[in-house]
Amino acid sequence: MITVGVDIGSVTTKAVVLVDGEWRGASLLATGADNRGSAEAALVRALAEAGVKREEVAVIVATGYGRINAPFAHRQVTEITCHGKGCHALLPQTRTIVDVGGQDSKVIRVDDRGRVVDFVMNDKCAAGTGRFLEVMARALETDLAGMAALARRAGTSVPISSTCTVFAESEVVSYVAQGRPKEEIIRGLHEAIVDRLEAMLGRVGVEPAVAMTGGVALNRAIVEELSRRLGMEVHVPPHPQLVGAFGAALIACTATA
Amino acid sequence: MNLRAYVSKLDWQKHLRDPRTYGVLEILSYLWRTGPLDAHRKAAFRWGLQLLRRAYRRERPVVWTNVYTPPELIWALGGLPFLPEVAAAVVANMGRAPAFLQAAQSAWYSTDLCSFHRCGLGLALADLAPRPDLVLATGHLCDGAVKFLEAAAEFYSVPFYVLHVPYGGGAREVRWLADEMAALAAELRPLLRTDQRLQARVARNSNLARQYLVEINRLRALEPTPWSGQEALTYVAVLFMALGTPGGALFYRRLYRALLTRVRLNRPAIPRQRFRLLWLHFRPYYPGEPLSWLERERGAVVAFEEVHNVTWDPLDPHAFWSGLAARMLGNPLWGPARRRAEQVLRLVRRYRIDGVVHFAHWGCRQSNGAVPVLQSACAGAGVPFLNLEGDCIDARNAGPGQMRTRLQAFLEVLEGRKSGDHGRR
Repeated sequence: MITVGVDIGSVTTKAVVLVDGEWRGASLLATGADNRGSAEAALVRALAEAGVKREEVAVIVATGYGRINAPFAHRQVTEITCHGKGCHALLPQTRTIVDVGGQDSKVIRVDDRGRVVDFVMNDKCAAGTGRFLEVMARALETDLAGMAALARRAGTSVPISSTCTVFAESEVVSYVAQGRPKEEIIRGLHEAIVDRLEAMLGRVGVEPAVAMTGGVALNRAIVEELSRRLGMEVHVPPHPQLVGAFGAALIACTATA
Repeated sequence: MNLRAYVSKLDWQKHLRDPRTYGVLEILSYLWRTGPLDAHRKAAFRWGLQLLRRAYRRERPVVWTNVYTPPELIWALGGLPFLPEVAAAVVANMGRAPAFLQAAQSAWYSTDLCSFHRCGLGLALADLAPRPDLVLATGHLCDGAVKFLEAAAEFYSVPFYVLHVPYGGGAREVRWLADEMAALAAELRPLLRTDQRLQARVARNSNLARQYLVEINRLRALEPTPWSGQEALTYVAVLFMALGTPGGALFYRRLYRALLTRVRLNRPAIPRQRFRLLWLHFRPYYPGEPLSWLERERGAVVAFEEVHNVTWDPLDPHAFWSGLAARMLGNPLWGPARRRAEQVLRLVRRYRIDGVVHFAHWGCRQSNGAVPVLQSACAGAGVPFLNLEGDCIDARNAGPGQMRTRLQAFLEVLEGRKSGDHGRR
């Protein structure tokens, strides 16, 4: 049985193809302004990588904030359930998942079968999400990939608001004007993100093992800071951005077209 | 000139303030053909039109007040209650709230405050609502309402009264509040030209409505439930304004018959009811709000909400003020949050609830402040709990996609529990 999961996020759209539950292909591309177009493109690319024809696909499940914009999908499931299912399949000991995507962050508690028991999502502001880091990288004239390394180099940090992205950006500009080292500012930004995640974790409760998914999980400085605060290792599955799409494809295995 | 062109040329503001508008609409309402299933809607509509006609005609003194003031208090004094918070919900339902919210913001009313009050103040500033003869606020539950009503009283240059409500709910507090209400009534009687005999009539109408409401709530416990949460949370306006009037009693009698007919004909409010939810606090009232989607498209019916829970005894006309005082103090939302949490768990059992949704209305301290206690109580009882952040009036303050994602994910949690043989409480 061939199934596909398509995760239409605010920044990237991902697709994962499974053949009898085995990972065969995947794709990841920018979402842009055309949700439907990017969902279609991600599907086509993932199928090509898997060497599978479209008519052979039994079930497609769409997830992510743009899930209603995938007319080819047989079912729409929220990213919360998909991340729970996908992460549990990759790291079966996981009970708490921290997912930080482009525009939102969430903490998900799952049971021993990967079923969601409880969850919380960030409030309206993008503070504490991938978008927050993007905005700050631009303000500091650096790139996302280099931010983690700069943060790890800093001996200390500056306090930065974790409430509002726009306020935080103005604080960053002020620190730059004061001549504070870029490394300290970036470390402060990382700590602001972890502050928010820690508060969300407190709301649902931390049950080991903890895993992190979403694009921000590729930032080692965030993962390390979160591990330090929790006093336990935060695991990152391979391809953390694709976990939602993978979970959607797994759910498709048990769904009917 | 065709009808559309004629309508577009109407001076709406002038007509809204003209009592004849409501008289004409009331006459037209006779053309509205209703059956046993929806006669209550017509009763509520006509009652609202009559109230507005009388208020704009200044037939009796108009008393602006807040939703936690028992309407029987105003009716018994011979006044006409006008609730700007209810008017704000109506305006939001018509998609007109942003202009009034903006007006309040321009008048130094912070966006951090409750949009019911901001919109209500905007209505006052636009001078669209019936002008008050006096303003009466209760100090319990919502301090924001007191401040907003004080601003409204100042705007209209009318007297402003506050009922100070003690925190406890014992006999001493009931006596204290009853004495305060009696003293207020004595002070207001000359202004409101009231007649002491009104009290008995108001108590009789209130008790009749209460009696039907108890029966209605009994029917709502049935599966499938005959009343949708979306409709129930619309008609809270009747509860807040019409208790104590013949119109209020008529509404609840017709509603009871409608629900009974639905039960007998097996025509539930929502055809396919997969989950039964308990909704805490109010709902969003703007077009496109998520509750109708949740119920109609997702089959998650709001089997009950805490507003309609009857927690008070029938009013004794000879102990009228004590009865109202006991009702105010007995409101489970007043006092320690633990009391509200205990009620929530009782409702969960009585209405066989699968999950509890607390609608965290932006700026509402009194309800949102209790969330940790409510969440903890639900977690302790093994009941899934969702704190859904949004805004009842201002659609711009809540992303519809974000709210739907949270609600859909919550239903997926409930689905997982059902498939996992967690069973129902």
